[in-house]
Amino acid sequence: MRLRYLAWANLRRHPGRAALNVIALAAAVSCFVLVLSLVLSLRSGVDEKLSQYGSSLLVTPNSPQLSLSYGGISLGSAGSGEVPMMDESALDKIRSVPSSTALTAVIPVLLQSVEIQGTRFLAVGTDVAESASMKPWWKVEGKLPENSNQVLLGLNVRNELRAEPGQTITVNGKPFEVAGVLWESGDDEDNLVVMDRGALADLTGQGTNINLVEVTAVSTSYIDGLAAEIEVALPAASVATVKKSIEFTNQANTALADLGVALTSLIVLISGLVVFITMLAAVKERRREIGVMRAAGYKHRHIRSVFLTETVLVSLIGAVIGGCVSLAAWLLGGRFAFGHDSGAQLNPLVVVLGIGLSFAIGALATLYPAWRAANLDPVEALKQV
Amino acid sequence: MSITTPVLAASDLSKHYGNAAVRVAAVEGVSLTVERGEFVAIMGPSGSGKSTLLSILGAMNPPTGGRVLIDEIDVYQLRQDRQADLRREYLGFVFQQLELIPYLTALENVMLPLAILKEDGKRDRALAALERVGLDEAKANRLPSALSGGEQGRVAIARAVVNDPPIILADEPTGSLDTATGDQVLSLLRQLAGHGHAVIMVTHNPESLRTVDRVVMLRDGRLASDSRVTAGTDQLLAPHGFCSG
Repeated sequence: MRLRYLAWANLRRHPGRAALNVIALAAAVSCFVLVLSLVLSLRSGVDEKLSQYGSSLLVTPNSPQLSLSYGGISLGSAGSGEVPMMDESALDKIRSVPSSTALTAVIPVLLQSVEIQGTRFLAVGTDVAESASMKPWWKVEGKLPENSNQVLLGLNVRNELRAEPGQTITVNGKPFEVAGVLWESGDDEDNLVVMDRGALADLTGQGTNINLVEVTAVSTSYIDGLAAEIEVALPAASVATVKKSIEFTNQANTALADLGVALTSLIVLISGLVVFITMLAAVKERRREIGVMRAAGYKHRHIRSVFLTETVLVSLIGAVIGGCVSLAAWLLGGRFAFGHDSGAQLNPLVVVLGIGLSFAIGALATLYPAWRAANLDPVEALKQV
Repeated sequence: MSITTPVLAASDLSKHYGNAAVRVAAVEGVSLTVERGEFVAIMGPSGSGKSTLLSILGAMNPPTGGRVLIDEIDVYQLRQDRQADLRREYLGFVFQQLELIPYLTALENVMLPLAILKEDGKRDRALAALERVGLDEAKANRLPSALSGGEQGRVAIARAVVNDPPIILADEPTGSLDTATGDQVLSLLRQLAGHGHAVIMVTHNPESLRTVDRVVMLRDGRLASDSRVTAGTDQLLAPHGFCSG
């Protein structure tokens, strides 16, 4: 028989108390793992978006009538009419800003309403290949349009038209081949028809008019400066940076994360208190037992060891259960929250930290009770009735 | 007259409680020696300091004054950890309420003092101790609640002797037992003394005079008498309020 057997035997003697401690620690672990994983996923999502889209900005005409959401950015207020136009000369002005060497692409975009098989859709006319290179999140079933007679459909458009890659559709009376279909993005891209800008201009008689310009820079560090310079060069235009949009999202995520951290801290504190109170009660209940042990030659460290071993066992069980609960909750809830292709995964390091947290809570909450047990006067302990 | 070195020697022991304004002397100026194989009863009225004296002799209660030598080791000059080692090596305790741990079997209770040791054969040693007090392996695997009072007493004694300590300290070991069971316990303690253990027992029970070698009488914390048991001891105890049935 070893000291750890005494701890185990006492746990078996009080299964209810042990279960209470296990539940408290498991709750702390699972809450910690889930919240920290959520925070990390949100942050990595923002970082990923920043790295992917952060080096781009959109230049649009200033208009309160503009009702357009494109590229993940809401560009204006409500309105249902035709969107305002810019001239292609805006492109030269953008390419001539003082920091133009930081520009990597200036892509004009034409947005027009088109009729396809009796239904109106928003068509995006652009340099499809170049525009696609700025949108790494695009996943295409089929292929990207390779000429002006091909189009790319958003998922909702495809569903509405029941059109598959390779089929031909009629846009404003002219046949186009469906080159590919965009995977579901969950935003406005699902409702777009993407095609060559020249083809769309011919269909709608817009000539050299454009609605907006997509601009990319070599680095996010140039974005704010470029935006300011373009606003000076094009006083009638407004410039929206994707970075700002993501940073706004990040602020919301941070607030959510803070709330989660506060909630987790509260649960950790409560679980620590549960362990502390139950261990203190156990010390009181086992005073005579401790007195016998002291009389039998147990040193202070032996008594402490009995209680701390008990906590280690409880912490281990709590950590395992908490880890399993968080894993299950992550698999079920995480996929729901982040979507099928979010890439959000439970970080093993977070799980390890959660297990460590269980031991830390258990040990910290047991330190004082164990110290108190070890320092009980054996004579007084044996006097207690 | 013994010429051996006493296994336990206490000199001028005192234990005071309270503060400078209100001081209570639980033990005052007590000296005694006990040799191996001796069975000593400490008797006296309630509040006379018997249990306090026993706890001081048991290296669990530092005296206010005086010193205790166990095998010539000055107990209270040792650090606390060494005192614990000394308790394990030299002392075995039998408590009034027996103090068996209810969730451990008889065998596990006996193994309790061995649990802190890193050595093999602990189970065999515990079984041998149980056998020594007349309990077989079948009883060894029962919880205390499944044993009779006498069997529980035997387990408590087995736990006290499992380390084979030279000194057994018993604090009213028959106090919570019926007469027949109490006699069994006294008989076992007598046997232990016969095997060379020094047994020091606090008791109220005058019947125990039939089994002990010596009676130390305390009154108000002071040593009232220290005498060998003879045919006339009953008469000796009578002035102190004791008489054997």
